[in-house]
Amino acid sequence: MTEHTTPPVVRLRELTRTYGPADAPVHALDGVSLDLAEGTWTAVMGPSGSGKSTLLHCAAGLDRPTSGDVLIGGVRLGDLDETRLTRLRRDRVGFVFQSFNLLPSLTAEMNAALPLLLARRRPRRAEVRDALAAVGLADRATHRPAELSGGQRQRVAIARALITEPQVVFADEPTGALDSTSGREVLELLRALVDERKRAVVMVTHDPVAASYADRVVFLRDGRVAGEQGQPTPRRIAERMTELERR
Amino acid sequence: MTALACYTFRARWIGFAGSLAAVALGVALFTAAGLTLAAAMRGSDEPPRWYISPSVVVAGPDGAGSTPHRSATDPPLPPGERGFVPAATVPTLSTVDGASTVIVDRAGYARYGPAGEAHPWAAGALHPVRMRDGAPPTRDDHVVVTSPSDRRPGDVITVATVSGPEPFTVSGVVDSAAAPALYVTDATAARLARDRIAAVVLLPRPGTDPHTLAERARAALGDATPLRVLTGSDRRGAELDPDAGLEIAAVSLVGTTAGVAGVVAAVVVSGTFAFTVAQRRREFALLRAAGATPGQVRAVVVAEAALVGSVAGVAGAVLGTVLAPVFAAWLARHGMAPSDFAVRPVWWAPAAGFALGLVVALAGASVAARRAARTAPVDALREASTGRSAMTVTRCVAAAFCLGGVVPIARLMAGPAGAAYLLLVVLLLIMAGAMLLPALPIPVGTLLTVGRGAIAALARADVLAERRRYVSTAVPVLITIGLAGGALVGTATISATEAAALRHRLTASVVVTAAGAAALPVSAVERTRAVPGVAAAMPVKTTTVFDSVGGRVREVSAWYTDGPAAATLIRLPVAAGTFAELTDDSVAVNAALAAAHGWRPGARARLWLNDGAVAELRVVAVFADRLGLPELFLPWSLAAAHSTTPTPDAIYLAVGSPADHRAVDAAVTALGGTALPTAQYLTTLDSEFDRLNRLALLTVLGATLVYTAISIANTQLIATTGRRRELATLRRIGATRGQVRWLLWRGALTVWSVGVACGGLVTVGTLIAIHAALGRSTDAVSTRVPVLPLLAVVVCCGAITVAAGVAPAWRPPGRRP
Repeated sequence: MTEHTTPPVVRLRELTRTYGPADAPVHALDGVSLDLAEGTWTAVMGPSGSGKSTLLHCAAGLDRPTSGDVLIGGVRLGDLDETRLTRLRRDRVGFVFQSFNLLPSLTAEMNAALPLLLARRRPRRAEVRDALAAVGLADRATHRPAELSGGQRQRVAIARALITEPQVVFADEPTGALDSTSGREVLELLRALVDERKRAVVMVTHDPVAASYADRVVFLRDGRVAGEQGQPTPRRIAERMTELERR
Repeated sequence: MTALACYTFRARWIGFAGSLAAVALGVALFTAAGLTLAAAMRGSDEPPRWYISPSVVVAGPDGAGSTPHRSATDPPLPPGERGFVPAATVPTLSTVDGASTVIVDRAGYARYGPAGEAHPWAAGALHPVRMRDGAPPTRDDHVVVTSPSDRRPGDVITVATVSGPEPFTVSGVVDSAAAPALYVTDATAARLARDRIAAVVLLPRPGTDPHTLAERARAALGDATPLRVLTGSDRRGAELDPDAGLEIAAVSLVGTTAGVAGVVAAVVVSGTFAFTVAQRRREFALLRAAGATPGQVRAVVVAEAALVGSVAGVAGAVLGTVLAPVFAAWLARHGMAPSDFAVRPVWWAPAAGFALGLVVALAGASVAARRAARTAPVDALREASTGRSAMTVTRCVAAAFCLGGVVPIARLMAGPAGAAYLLLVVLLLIMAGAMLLPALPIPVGTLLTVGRGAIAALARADVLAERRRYVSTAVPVLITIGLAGGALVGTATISATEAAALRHRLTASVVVTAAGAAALPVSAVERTRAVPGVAAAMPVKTTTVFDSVGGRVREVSAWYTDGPAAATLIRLPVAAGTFAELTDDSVAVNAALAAAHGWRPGARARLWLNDGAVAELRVVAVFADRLGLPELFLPWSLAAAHSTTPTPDAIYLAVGSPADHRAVDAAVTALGGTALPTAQYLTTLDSEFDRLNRLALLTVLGATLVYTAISIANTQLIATTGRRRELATLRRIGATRGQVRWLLWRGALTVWSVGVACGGLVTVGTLIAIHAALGRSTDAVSTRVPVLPLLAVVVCCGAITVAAGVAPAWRPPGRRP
């Protein structure tokens, strides 16, 4: 991490997240600390139940950690109430889900513009069209989700995540529900986001090929950080994963 | 947020169809009942039918109360009764300046054809009258009839009067602009009216304003007078309306209908809204994940509710306005409203319906909106669904509140307005049941889904995981069955108990009643006493009088009767004093009245009688409060002086053997009476009462039950449609269509059973409340359960629940896996 000179966009400090009853707690996260700088892409990997998704949700402010701090752009999320947390998320964070999570009743255009509408900003038509054009969907603006393919839906979701110009984009298995061609298109979009627009991207995945698009891969196991790789290749990632799963 | 709500609403109005239907039909029901109520409350602004020519009418009081200006909350005189003008005021009024003529109008009971009263010929000046044939009455047995009539001058006709049928000679036939009446000489009019004056009418001299004349008349009468000085349309208040009783009954019936419809619509609409919002939990989680604050989610839900409430409110108000005349015509056809009953368009009834729909939709949505706003954004990532609904403390407290409300209201079920209070008790019990409903699905569902098959296991899991959906869909079943069960069982039990109590009280073996439309004359009492074998005869006239407790005037049920005879013909639970002294200016009161006033035998009781006149009566007896008995007994001598028609409703006789009723019958036939054994008479009375009761119940509950039945189908359809994805998955993993249908069938069965169980509890609760309320004033409560109608309702509910629950899957969504 020494090559990064800019301050981190997201800082995680000693995060723990516990589920279940007090007498038999399940530790989904058990003291995770990470810094995520702008212009970098971090992939989070680990076996099932290692706490990947929980980490993502806590870092994005969708879920609250049991203890520890999450700072986005220097603001401590634990200090915010639900409404102010939502506003901060709306302004600084984009989120891409595995299952797209578009509102079925809204057109692609409306879905992409939703965060602006929710922020009470009247979106300019060009602004929304540009966002859709950036993901290659300029001609699908008035289609409803049911009329789009899986890859197109995910690109609408990316357009939605980017519409507020967030500092960091979280992606939860963004290619999990896509075929390899659509998946590659989505990953290339994210790569361009990091390289050209200097955004931070945090992606949870179990696919070594997807993870290889990232600048570094952080491995989780039993809620703890179990090492990381820079300049990852699919082969090295797969080896490390096999190792983690075997132990 | 409104824009977003609008967009969602436009894009998915089908999804809102359930809420739209619930609001629209509820509003329609309430609007129709409201419009009919407005029509039933007509009257005061109609022009007079008797005092048509310009005049100032001085009339007796139209209610009880000690001051000349009664308060608006004081009860009016019973229907068919009028107050009288003391003869002493006639000289006073004659001196009022500006009157060209002073007419003393009397109205004695005299029935012939459509005419029901005899007025002095001079009253012909009160409205346009033209002599068509013959001449005015000159002899005391002369009568002028109104056309159309098949009688000619010189014909002898028999007129039914208070003292019996009387022959009169027709002296003339007139065309009259007023209601049909008989015109006789002053002397005869005075005799038939028992010397009482119905009104003193001042005809203004040309150039004198009636209002000025009225002011002068008021001044002449002084401030303390209970008399009313009326001008213009107010003079209608001095006329007896033959439909008054029916109109009052219609107002209370339709008012009850509107009340029940309003409450049920409110419960159903708010329930449907809460349910549809809960079903869209995942969608709200998505909004939250996309950056909506909790407040914004709340705003979306409320804006949608406002949209649905407004659109459906307008539709419902229009539908209700179309349906109201149909309802009014039905009421009139079945004799529950005057025959000329018609709906007048008033703006406030549809407006109130619209407001009810909007308010209820918003209220129902706001509770659900708070829950929706609490949705965590991570829920969007889970396969979140409607969630569980547990028995919360809030629900327990609300249920306890409803049950507590039953206690004070239940007592009133023993009173004259028992039916309305019964419905209130049932509604409170239903609300308590709805609050306690979440406790039922799991035990009932587990009981119904025994078995080891995959579908049984799925059905069991569904009940455990989706308790809220079961609760929401069972609510309309609960309302339907609780309302039908509570009302049917309650009404049947109350009337059976009252009938049994009356039978137990009366020891008379024979009863004489009017054979036709004409009243039974007083002379029939003496006639029956003269029949050999008759040991005692007692005329009974039922009426309402008034007392005042703490400045509030109350209605008190009363029987005019013959005190000494009553002691032998009624089982009287006398606590103190004796009925033998109930002869002149005396009264026998029940224990509750005695306690309220501190009366005991020998005390002076101050009452207003049925003509609004004050009476100071000596208390001669105090008796226990018993069902079947009135609150007080008055001597017959007072009936003659204070009733507009001082004739008995019935004469009860002690006869050696009931078979002797034939001899009595022969004696009273000429007087227009007929004699029957008491048991037989009471049976006919009961069946007529039951028929009216059934019609009244049908009026109050019919439309509401149809509405709740529709809402059963509605919620079931919403619920099953919401499970499309789940069912499609089932089909994909190998469930046959039959298995999917079987799963839905089992779910619907559970919903129905939960509703039936809770509705049954409401019915049982109603019976317990009735037993507690009536048990104190009767020896035995006769529990009646109308099994067939109840079974019909329960089966219909089951059929609707299953049909609507399974129908959406009839062409299973998994057809295209």
